[in-house]
Formats: sequence, C-alpha cells, structure tokens
Amino acid sequence: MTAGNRTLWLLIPAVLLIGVCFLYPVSWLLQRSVSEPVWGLQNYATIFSRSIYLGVLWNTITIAGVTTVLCALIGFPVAYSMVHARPRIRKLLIFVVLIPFWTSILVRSFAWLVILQRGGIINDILTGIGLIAEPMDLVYNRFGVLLGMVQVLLPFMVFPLYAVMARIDGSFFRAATNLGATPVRAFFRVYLPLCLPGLGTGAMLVFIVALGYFITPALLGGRGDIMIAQLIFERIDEFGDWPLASALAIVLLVGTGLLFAIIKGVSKLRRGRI
Amino acid sequence: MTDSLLKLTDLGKAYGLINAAKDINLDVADGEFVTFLGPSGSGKTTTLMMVAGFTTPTAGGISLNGQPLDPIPVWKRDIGMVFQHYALFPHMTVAQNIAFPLEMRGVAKRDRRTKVEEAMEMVGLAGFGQRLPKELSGGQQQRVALARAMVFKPRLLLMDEPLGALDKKLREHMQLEIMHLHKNMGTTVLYVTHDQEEALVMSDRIAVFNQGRIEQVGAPRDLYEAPETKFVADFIGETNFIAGQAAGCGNGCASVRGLNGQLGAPLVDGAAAVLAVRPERLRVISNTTPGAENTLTGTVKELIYLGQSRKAIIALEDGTEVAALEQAAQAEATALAIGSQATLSFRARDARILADV
Ligand SMILES: Nc1ncnc2c1ncn2[C@@H]1O[C@H](COP(=O)(O)OP(=O)(O)OP(=O)(O)O)[C@@H](O)[C@H]1O
Ligand SMILES: [Mg+2]
Repeated sequence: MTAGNRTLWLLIPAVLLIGVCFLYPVSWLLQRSVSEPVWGLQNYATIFSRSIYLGVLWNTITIAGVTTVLCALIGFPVAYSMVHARPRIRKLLIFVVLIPFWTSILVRSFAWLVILQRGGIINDILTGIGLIAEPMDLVYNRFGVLLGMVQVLLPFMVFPLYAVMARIDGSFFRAATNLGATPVRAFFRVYLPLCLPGLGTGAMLVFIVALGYFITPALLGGRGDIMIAQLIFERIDEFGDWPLASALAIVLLVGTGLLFAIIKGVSKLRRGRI
Repeated sequence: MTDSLLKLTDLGKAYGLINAAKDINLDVADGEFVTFLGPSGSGKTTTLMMVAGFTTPTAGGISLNGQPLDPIPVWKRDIGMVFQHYALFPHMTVAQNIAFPLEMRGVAKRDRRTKVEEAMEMVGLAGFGQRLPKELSGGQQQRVALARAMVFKPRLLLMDEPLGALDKKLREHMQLEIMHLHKNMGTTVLYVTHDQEEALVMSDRIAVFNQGRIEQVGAPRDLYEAPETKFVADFIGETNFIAGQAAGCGNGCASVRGLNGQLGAPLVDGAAAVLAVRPERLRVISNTTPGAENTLTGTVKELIYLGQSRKAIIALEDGTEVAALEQAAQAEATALAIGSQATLSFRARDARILADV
C-alpha cells in the first residue's frame, strides 16, 4: 500500500459533494434532455437548427470571447504595474482589483445602471459640457454587458498573470536588449512569451466563467444580448420547458469541457515542440 | 596592446547618499582580459552595468573606441554579456537562444544557421541545438550563455560572476575554457568575480574594488608582490601585518618598528603604518645566524601540516601573530616545536610598508 492509497479516504467529503451536487443533477439533466417528450436527440436538434438558439449560442461565445480579450488587454498592464510597484502601491492595487469581488453582483450591476442610463451621470456630464447633444445609449446593449462583465471578471485575469509575472527574472529582458533587441522586440520575443502561461490560465478562467454568466447580461444587456444562461432560466421560468433547458445546460457543459480539452492539448503540443 | 578600447573616466554612480561606484578610472586595451575583484557590495556589478548600459552613471563617462557610450542605448552598444544566472530564454531552444542576437541584427537565416553551428562547436555543444535550457546541466547552460554572448562578435564581452553557480571542479574547468576562448577569439573581456584565485589565474590585469572605488589596478603578480594599500595586501592572498609608525620614508624605503620594507605608496614619517610580508617570505632561522636582517622572535603557537608545506603560527612579544610558510623539505630542516622560541627573518625587498587605515 502506498502512502497515496492510504490517504485516499481524505477525499471522501469532496467526492460526496461532487457526487451529490454535481454528478447527480447533471445526469438528471442529461436524462431529461434525451427522454422528453420522447427518447431521442430532438431537443439538441432544435437547439442546433433554430436560429434563435443558434443566435444565443453565438452571442454567448462572442460576449465571452470579447470579454476575455478585453480583460487580457486591461489586465496585462495592471498585473505588470502590480509586479513593479513599490510594496505600498502594490497593496493598494490589489485592493482596488479585488473590490468587485467584495460587492454583491446585483449591487454592482445596478450601480452601472445608475451611472450609464440615459439620465445617468455620464450622459448628464457629456450633455452638460455640450460634447453631445442627445444622451447616448450606454446600457441595455452590448457595450453595457461588456463593461459590466469585464469589471467583474478582471481579477480572474489579473491574479494568474501577476503570479507568473512576479516570477519572471528581470535579467531575461535585460539580456534581450543587451543582445540587440529594442525594448519593443524584447517585449514581444521574450517577455510576452514568458507571460503566456499566466495569460492562458487567466483567459481560460475568464472565458469559462463568462460563458455561464447570467445576472450582468440580464440587467445591462438588451434583447440582442441574451446569453445561454439567461435562455435556460427563461425556458424554465416562463415555459416550464425542462427538457430543452436541460439540453441547453448540457451543451454549455460539453462546450466548456471541449474548450478545456482543446487548450490543454494545444499547450501540450507547444511544450512538445517540433 | 597599445590602443585602449574601453576608457572609464571618473565614472561614478550614486544612489541617494550611497556611492555604489566612485571615481572609477580605467583603460582597457584591445584584447585584454581585465577582472574586477572585490568584496560583496564593492561596486563591481554597478560598474559593469554602467558599461553595459543598464545603469546610468551619475558622474564621469565611458568611451569605447574613442566614442562616448552614454548616448548609445543598450541594444545598440554591441557589447556581449554573460549574466550571473545565464538568463537563457527558457522558451527558446539552445539554437534559438544563440541565434537571437543574430536575428536582432537582421542576419539572413542561412548565415544565422552556420554561425550558430560554429558557436556551438566553439563551446563544445555541437548537437545540443534542439534542447531547451532546462534540459542542460549548469556547465552546459554556462557554455550556451557564452556562445550567445560571443556569436555576434561583440567588441567587448562582460561577465558578471559567470562561474558563481558552478561547483569547484567545473569552475576550474570553465576558467580554462574561457581563457582559451579569449585567446582564440581575441575578444576584450571585463570579468567580475570575488574569488581571488579565479582572478589571479585568468586575468591580464585585475582592478581591486573596495567600497565603490578601485584601490589598485595591475597584473596579478604586481598586485600580489607589490600591493599599494593594506586592503589589497589583505584581500589578495594571505599576509602578515605588523603595525607601527612609519620611519625613514624616502627613496622608496621605510621602516616600521625597526623592520625595513619597500614603500607601497608615499607616506610621511610618523604616520600609522603596517609592514606587510607574505608567509612564504618569512624564513625560520636559528637565533645564532649572523647578520640576519629584519628579525622577529616569538613563541610557536601552532604548526599546521599542509602536505607539501607547513605553516607555523608564531606569536610575537606584543601578541601579534604571524604565519610562516615553509616547503616540506625546509620545514624538516628547521624542526619547530609548539611552545618553543623561534626567530624569523625576511628580506626588506619582500616586505611592503603601507598606510594603516
Ligand atoms: N539600485 C540600487 N539602489 C540602491 N543601492 C544600490 C543599488 N544597486 C546597488 N546598490 C548598492 O551599491 C553598492 C554596490 O553594489 P554592487 O552590486 O555593485 O556590488 P558588487 O561589488 O557587485 O557586490 P557582489 O559581489 O555582492 O555582487 C552596494 O552597497 C549596493 O547596496
Ligand atoms: Mg555583483
């Protein structure tokens, strides 16, 4: 008996939790999705043939994708500043990045509404100083959804990046410039590649969490910004359509799992170099 | 070695009130191997970093080939550098690492390949091109770093304690390899170490650093035989110091407590001074030897057997302990016993009179 086998009982609580709270409901969903109204894949066929469902799937992927890219673009300089700031500033930055985590998601989304709506602060200021004549639509559209989601999900990007960047020795960049690379080339050829593990982890976290996002798009988005989680909710809440909702949930789950597998595969391929 | 390639003039770097380097003056000839030697925190790295361009001097200037370096950014200086922990790019193979400086210089792909092959050949790593740095031993990584820093034929090669991370045996081996490379390629080298043996073995000249300043620059032999300051005499090799007041300073000679030696640097009569004499320059004599100059007498405290030689620690009357090193054959002839009296003698030209600071 190895030590590993003897400590396996430590896993019992976790196994029970996953079994009861995840595997059981998921298999229940799976069963309903293929057994009602009759046995078969008709629910999945509906999802992949009707343009409203396909549209929602597409929305979900693009919103999650754009959120991920924006989080990376905004998070990278933030993580970089955190690594290179003096300890006191660093603490402050960490605090600022974490604030969204400590406030309720509802409060946060409503706060955005107050700020962004047609009679909100931003429109008031912009019309007040005469920069625009008419109030702009800043919310109940894609812009509002992305803004809200980027704010909430930014920490998922910043912290993995920070962890990786903090361990990158400054001598790599110095060596690159010493060998003739301009700072820009040194960044793209040496620094950025060394950040990739953090960027990859962060992107995966943001994308996967964003795929299943619900409240922010529901509150800040318009009719054209419905994401899959909202659709599932609607099918059950308004129509009691459990079979189709179950099929949608399974699609979300399988899609996420597939993405995970692809990313793992790609990074393995990269490591195994030609 | 006539024309100077690198010239440091009154170079200094201050961090607030701390002078990390100050009044550094040094001329390095083309093809020369110059080592910065000194204790931790003495300003060696700071000076090297100013030459590489990573640190901006707060005083003085640097010129290479007569051109001032100050306005030239790091990436245009064309100075190779081997970092202490090599700084090999972990995401690139050995070949990609070595090709990097060529790529940055826009060398065509085919030329690049042949040059990389040559460089790997040069450091004995032919066939390792496809490995990642982490798949190499410490010594092999060191060689890759060396190849990468030399492949673009830099005018000057800087090395900051490049062998610090290697074990003793490998270090000695790499010392020889670096010396051979230096000879074969004719590259001018600035080398940093705090290992005095390494400095003595490898260098054409050594600059001894202390508290941000250069104490003395000279060939290894000059530094060892003719130190100009007490610090240099103490830092390089082992030395006996006998403290007192300088007397009879003039025409290069002086004495301390009636013992004669060469003046290391000008000194005024009555100044606090030490006489410095190496253990191997002290001879044990019998107290009946006639006409012996510069004699010291004391009690034998310790006899240390070192195989090919023997070291005797002798306490003088005032408590100063001196060490005398004798070759095995000589030691047998002058049988000493712990606790017995011994007389030592040395030639005035083997002793240095230095300011006591
Ligand atoms: N960025 C900095 N800010 C403040 N002081 C510094 C800085 N860099 C170096 N120093 C100080 O300058 C002095 C010289 O440092 P330097 O690194 O040149 O020493 P060194 O001779 O290379 O020592 P070692 O053998 O330990 O590498 C030290 O006292 C150090 O504390
Ligand atoms: Mg140093």
